[in-house]
Amino acid sequence: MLCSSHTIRTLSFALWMSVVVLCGGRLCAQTTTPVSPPEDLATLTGNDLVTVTLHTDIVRFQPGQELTLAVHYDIRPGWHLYWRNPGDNGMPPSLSIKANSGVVVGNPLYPRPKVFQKKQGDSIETSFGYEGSVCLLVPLSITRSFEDDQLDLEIELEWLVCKDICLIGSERRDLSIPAALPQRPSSMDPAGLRLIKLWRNRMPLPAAKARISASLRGDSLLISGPSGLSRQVRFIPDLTPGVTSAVQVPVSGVVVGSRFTLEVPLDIRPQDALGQPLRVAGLVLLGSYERPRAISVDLPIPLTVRDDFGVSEPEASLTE
Amino acid sequence: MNFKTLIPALLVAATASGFGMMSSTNTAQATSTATTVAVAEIGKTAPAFSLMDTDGKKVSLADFKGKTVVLEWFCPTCPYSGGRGARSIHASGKVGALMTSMKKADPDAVYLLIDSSTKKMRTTAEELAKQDGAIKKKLGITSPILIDGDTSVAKAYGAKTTPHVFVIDGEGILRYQGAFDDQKKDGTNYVLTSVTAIKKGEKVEPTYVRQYGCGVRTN
Repeated sequence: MLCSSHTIRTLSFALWMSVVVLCGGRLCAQTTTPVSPPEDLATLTGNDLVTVTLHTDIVRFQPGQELTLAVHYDIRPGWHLYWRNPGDNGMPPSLSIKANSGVVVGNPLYPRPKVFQKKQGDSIETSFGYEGSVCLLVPLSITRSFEDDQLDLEIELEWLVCKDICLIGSERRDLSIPAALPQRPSSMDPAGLRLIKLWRNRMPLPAAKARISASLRGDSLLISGPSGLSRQVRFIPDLTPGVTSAVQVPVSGVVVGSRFTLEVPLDIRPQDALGQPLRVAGLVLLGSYERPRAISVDLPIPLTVRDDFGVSEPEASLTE
Repeated sequence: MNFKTLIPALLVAATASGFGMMSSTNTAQATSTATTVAVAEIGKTAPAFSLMDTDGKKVSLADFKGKTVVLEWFCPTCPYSGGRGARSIHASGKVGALMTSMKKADPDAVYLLIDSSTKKMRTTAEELAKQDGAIKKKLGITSPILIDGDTSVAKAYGAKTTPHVFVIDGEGILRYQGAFDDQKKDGTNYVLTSVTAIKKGEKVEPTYVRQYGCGVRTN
């Protein structure tokens, strides 16, 4: 093949630039890591490593209104908190919220987590969680008959924060929101709204909204759908007693064209279901953590077709 | 301009992209390798071991043939295990209460703690034994703490957290592994339910509940 001098020079420059791009991130990451002064681990607690702030999307409420409480965790660099399924080890942050009667407190929504993997002997330790910061969103519904002039929340927070070691932090917070004046609309909090919008965008979409289909075939969960621009598709499981992945997680899918397919072999043990209905649930992770897309899948495993040897026929499906 | 500048650039680019490929290949291998939840399997013979306790006494699983044996992975600093605070199953008295109930359910059942924290705490087996000896005294732990200095027993059992418990019947068969309890006030202790079922000759249910707590490091 013949190349002109100009072509070679251009190629050479492009290659060196690609080397800089390929290596630069790693080198920078290594050379700019700040050196922290040594800390006394014997006196350090989880409260020293995580700062919690509370936000709502409104500053005054009206009966019948729905609002969101945002619990924001600012995490010391190098440490991490856990997703609702922490993986091989860890614990998710716990929230206990007491409110006036007439207020319904929903389950906290967890944004898409990162996947952490470490080699442990011949196996891989996998956990799911958050570095830097994370915000849990808690939906609150106020009934129409609510008569109190303020909404009072007592919030008990506890979290496990880990690096090489793990520490527990805990706090109790009170939050009061006054009622809107009669005949006046409720007032929004622009800063709280911005934060909630930012984190709502990181929350997984339900499968139906994302045009994902999920079904059971034998003892496997099959998921397929559009992959968008993602070349990598992975599945991470939720905590579903009695149903675990029979293979190492995350389970990678196959992307062909603009669609993906994923097969997750399941280990189904009704005796380990702790009295709960058997189900398989988890997240399909598309894109990167920085530009996240996650889709939640939740599928019941019918008892009628189960015996001690597994699901015999496809019975459950969830489609768009 | 000649190929002199192009060749090193090609080599470095190939090396750099090679690292990227190696990394993604490793990940792909890791994610596609089928492995079970733990090495020790429910319904199969539990891996044999022989370890020294904090007093320098050799303890083997084989010593307890015919008895139900409970193994609890332990760490002196983990807040769910031997560390400080209300969540510690030792400092909170949960293990003490279990001992009392377990004695009633099966007076012959044996409870052993195994500490595989040498790599995690970057310490030696001797230093760990000293530290555990002090914690044992401080918390009033009555069970032996066995030191798994090279973490081989943790690897053999697939112990993932402290506490991660394993219940082995008198025939040496693993009957339960996972969480110590459901962490609820007056909730279920899975060790007690397993020991009780084995003593009564009943089926152990559940056989696995996801373990919680701090990670066990074997690398």
